[in-house]
Amino acid sequence: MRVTIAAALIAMSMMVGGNADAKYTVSRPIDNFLGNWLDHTYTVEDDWASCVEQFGGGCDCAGSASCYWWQNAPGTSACYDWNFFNNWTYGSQGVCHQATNNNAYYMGGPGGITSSSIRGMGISTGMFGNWGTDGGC
Amino acid sequence: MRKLTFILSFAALFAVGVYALQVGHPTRAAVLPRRAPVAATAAVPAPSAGAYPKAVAGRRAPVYSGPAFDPAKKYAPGTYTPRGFAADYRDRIKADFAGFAQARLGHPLSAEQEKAVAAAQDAFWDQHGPNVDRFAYHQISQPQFAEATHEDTILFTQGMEKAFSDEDYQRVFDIPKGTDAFPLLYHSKEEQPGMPVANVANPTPNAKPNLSTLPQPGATAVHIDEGSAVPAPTSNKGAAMAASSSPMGGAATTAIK
Repeated sequence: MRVTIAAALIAMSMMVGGNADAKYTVSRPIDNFLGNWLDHTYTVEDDWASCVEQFGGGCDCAGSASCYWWQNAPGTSACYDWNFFNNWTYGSQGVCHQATNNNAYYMGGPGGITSSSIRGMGISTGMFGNWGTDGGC
Repeated sequence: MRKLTFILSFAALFAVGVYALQVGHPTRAAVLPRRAPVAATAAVPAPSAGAYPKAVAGRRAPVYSGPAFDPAKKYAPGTYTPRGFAADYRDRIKADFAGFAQARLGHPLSAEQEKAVAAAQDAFWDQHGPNVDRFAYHQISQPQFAEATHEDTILFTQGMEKAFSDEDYQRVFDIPKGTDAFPLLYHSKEEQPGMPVANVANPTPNAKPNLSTLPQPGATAVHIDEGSAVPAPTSNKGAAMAASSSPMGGAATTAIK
């Protein structure tokens, strides 16, 4: 029984280690009836079909004025992805900017979406900081 | 046999632990192959080196786990902390925003501005903090929390309007004074106050054709070989922020039409 459990753990760890697909952090303009003022941010898988994190809004660049994106390595921390965001509530711990910031931080690469160029980050940073109100992980 | 099984299990668990540590180590992340960066399409201000103090942003926050909101209690202004928040969350937010504003304005906030900004942030959390707890403890519904957040957001922007000139307000917040930021920040039906993170695969996969093309190294691209040092450390968020020097954190951005 114990051997079976140990073997399962090893197999699971190998699956994690083998998941070397790149991820993308993306910012795109929020186009709605009010115009195009701020940017929505999120993280997607390499295939663009599924979200790593979509803390509000969708993961679709099609139809928007433009998308700014940055390729990252996969996340490598227990704080990355759903392990970290499982306890977040929109408007309490932060908004999409804070969620993406945290995800980008735990992905390999020189930085992330932590940028003063993202429109609307002045509002969200003024309310929730860079990493959200729980201080990050 | 039982003893041998136990030893084998222990060895396997140890190996898994060592492997997990290796996978989680920042230097391992640094050597993963990446596509070469592409130059940014537009020059924008980057965070200054001193904007995000390491001591504030770069460590795991001690989280407040004391009593939740008590409606019968009077809370001194600038002190309310919702459960699960970093105990020093107000200081963190103030430091983060000061760095952001400096990056946008090109100069630090004046002492007078810092005071006005802190007052706006404290007023926001004095009002919003109890709402966060009320919602977390199911004392108000999601629509009620959303409406309360709308009012709190208006309070925030009204406070910030006092701290900046019209021009500087636009530069920092991307909207003119007097604009209701709530419908802009909470801009979709999935992105309303009180809603959880969608931590599963996209429930509505992109139906429209993806007009984007994968970024390719451009003429100005700098090739990063496997094993090369990563420009910004990933072991410290404060340092990562400070080391950023381009719109997307010091690396690749490209516009896709």
